[in-house]
Amino acid sequence: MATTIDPTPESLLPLSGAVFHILVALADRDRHGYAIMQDVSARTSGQVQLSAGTLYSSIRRLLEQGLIEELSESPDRSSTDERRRYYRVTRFGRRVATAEVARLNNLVKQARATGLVPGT
Amino acid sequence: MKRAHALFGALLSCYPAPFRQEYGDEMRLMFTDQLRDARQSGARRTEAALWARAVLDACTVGPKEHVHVIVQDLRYALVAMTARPGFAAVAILSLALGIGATTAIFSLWHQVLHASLPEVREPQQLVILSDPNDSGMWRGRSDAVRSWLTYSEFQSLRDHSKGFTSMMATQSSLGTWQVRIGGGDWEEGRGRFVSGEFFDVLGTSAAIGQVFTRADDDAQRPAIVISDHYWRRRFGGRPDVLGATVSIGKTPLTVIGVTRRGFVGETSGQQPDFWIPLRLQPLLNLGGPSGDWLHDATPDKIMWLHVFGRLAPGVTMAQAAAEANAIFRSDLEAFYGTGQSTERRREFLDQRLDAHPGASGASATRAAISQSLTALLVAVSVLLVIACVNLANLLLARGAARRSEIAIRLALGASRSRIIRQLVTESLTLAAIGGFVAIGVAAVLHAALVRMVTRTDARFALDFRLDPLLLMFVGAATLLGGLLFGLLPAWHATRTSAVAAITEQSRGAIGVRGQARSGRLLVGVQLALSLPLLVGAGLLTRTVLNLQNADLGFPTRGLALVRFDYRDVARDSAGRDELSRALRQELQLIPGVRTASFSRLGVFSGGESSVSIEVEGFAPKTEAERGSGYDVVGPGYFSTLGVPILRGRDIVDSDGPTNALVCVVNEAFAAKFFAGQNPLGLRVSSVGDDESRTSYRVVGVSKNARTQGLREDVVPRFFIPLGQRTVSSYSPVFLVRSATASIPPLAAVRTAVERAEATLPITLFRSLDEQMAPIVAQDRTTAQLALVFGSVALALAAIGLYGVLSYAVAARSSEIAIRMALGAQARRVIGMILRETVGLMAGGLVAGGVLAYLGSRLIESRLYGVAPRDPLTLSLATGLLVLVALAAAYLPARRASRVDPMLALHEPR
Repeated sequence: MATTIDPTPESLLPLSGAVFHILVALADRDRHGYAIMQDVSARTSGQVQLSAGTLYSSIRRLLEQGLIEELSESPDRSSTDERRRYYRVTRFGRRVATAEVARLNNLVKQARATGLVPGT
Repeated sequence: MKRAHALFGALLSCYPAPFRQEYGDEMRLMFTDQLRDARQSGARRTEAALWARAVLDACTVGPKEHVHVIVQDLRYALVAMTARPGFAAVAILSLALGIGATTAIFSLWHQVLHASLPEVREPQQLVILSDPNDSGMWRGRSDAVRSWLTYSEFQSLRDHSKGFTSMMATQSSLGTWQVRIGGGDWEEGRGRFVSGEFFDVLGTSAAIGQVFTRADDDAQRPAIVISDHYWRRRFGGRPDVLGATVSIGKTPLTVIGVTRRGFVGETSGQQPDFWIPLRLQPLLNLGGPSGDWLHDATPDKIMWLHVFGRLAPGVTMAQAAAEANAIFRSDLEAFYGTGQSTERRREFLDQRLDAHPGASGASATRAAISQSLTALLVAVSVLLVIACVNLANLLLARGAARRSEIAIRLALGASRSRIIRQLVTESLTLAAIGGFVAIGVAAVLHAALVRMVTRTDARFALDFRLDPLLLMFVGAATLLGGLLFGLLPAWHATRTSAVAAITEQSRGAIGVRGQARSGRLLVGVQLALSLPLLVGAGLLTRTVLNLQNADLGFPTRGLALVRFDYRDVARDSAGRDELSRALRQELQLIPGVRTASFSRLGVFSGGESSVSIEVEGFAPKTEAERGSGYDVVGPGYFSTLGVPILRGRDIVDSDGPTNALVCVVNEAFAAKFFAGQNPLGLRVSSVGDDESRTSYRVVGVSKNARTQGLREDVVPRFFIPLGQRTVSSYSPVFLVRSATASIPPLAAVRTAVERAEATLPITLFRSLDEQMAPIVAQDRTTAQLALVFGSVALALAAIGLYGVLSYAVAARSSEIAIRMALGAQARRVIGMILRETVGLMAGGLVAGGVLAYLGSRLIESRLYGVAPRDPLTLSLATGLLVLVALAAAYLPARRASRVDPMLALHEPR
């Protein structure tokens, strides 16, 4: 019988900017694609604008890697637009996002230690 | 907004179809939302930025998604291959062999016929003023288009032509010498005499040291330039080769340079070991004691050089050729002077130069093997198509096993085009691996083919070159092969109803019938393509048998050919004739030897000699009737050869220089010049260039004998005794006829020779069979390859037929079971299957017959003793194909007759 080895969170690092922002956007609630784009834009004060191609290419990759999953029905019962597909971050996705944050923290720490940026 | 939607839809087409199907709607929706928000905000810059991002995505993310799909398909293909390793191995091997063989022959075909000379600068600027397909030497006079030029003609062109920036001359044939490196042993070396600007005209320089320059045409230094190939082979590639001594005969030459790797000179398909300055030719005694080939002696010209020129800027080949011909004509007028009759002068001046593009250089083998190579290329390409069709058939037959899997995928929403793309990717992956392996196969086969050609021409040499053109060819063959065997089965495999496949109600399902129909069509194609290959193989095989059994007019067994090197013999012309007679006497004393004689032309030596003649009682009407072939022979020539004398007598000992001038003519000569008359006693006169006449009385008529060529008609020839005509200083070819079928041993010949002249080198000693072997070698090789191709095609067609019929029988097992349950005998079932097989074959054989009819023209000029549309060969090939096809069909037919009706009707399918 073949044994499959699940990837570890660290094996998927570093995450691209778009992927990390999508995971952050889905961290607190399930969203559809446009809502993810709006959330990312709001949180970054308009500096990061995800285009449709970049967004859905990233969503495809995240689905394949099991970091997010598609919901079978809309969590927003008031929504009438059935074309909108909602996404949720998986447990594995959270672990990967956490690992990425730890990596970024480590980088910031190193930058402060060398005096590149002022420490707090 | 509608236009914006349409525009965005157009941008979406940059993404792969699966991605569009999955996310297209959402992307449109999201873009609509973003566009609406941008327009509502009133900021035009925001809308512009939105469009810019959409376009950028289409240009960057779109291609990335395409790559992702391709990588997915490749992964799927590799998984599918490892799941069916047997089929993958068969496919890769078939394709590697098919593509490799096609590539090897294409490489040879291209290099011999079309490729430019290697390591030559701007080869398209080169023009050759001699015949690039001919090599050799001719002393005397020539007419019409010149094959070669003389040294003085070259000098005149070089010094006066303005259409060429530079010109060079080179010995047209590759010379063979006994050479010695330093104080080492004597060994064979091959090289050419070349003029000083040889390397400059070809635009190449030395890799080590220097090459000849114009100054070497006049300088006295005994220099030699060696090839990179020779440097590595004989000097071990050592860097201190400059200054080494290479002795040719008694003349030591100093190595001044080594050419670049891959440089072969001006003749394609040959690899010289070295090049020597032209002015050293008399010193190296190429032509014997009177062998100065640099200076003509009126009225004889010594024509032996190829002449190349590099076109001046802005000058066309036609312009340069016109100027060259004007200079050439002026030279002829000066050479022949004005002291002849008007008609004679017109004959002398009836010569011209034809200019040829020199990019591919000269070639000694191009004319001889071009048609065989082209025919082989067509045959091997057909074989590759047959192999791909066979693989397609195998895939079709296996398509049934995957129908459920494909049906489920279709039911789950996968598009048909997506699955076809995936299946074709599998085929292309197999083809790509096969194509990669094919490069190695091609290198090996190329070397084998070159070895086969060397059986015809020992000087032929060609390396396998993996250049961009060859890589493109391999790529194209791989792509076409992969598509050829992948597309149809992929299309068929997806023509399935999900319900039908899943519920296994496939008896009589459209998909099954369609696959069976396609399978029959493919088998028909295989049969149609196999028949011309078999017919071609049959025709070529019969040609070889006819050549080998050709009636030469004399027995071939027990005849030895011997030649000596007279170049260092210190005798005059009469003295060398005496030596020839003495050698003959000594050879006749060898135990087991019945008789010996000699001939200046030799037997199947590749030479020819002809002369202008006047025949008593014959009035020539055309120019061709003023000339004849001739030979200078020794006493007993015809009895030694074994050619019957039909009238009169043979040449005898008393036919010497002091006796009456006599000759023997062959049947062809008698028929042409003495039609109806008894030629004995009549006179044949040879006419010299100075219009002097030498008259010979005919004393005998010999039967026709093929002594110079197998395919051509026997030429009219008259035979003159040695001593009654001045010959060159070359040794004649001695013919030694044994009493048995074996030739005498070399040691015995050497002992006999030493009694006549001590230390006389023997330059040729072989049997007539060995002498003739290269003549038939090319035809034998072509026939052998054609037989291999035909056999493989036959085997593939049989396998294809077996596969299709097995599948058809399996698919019809219910029908057959019902027939047998209703009382049909096993014999009738077998007969039914075989009859259907004949029906299947009929279309293929008719198409194959048409292809064979058309294709036989490709090899028409190579055939001997058999017509290209020989009905016997066509019938035999067709009969063989039908027999093999019926044998392949018999097994499935027999299996069908053993179907157990109860089991078949209840068995789930």
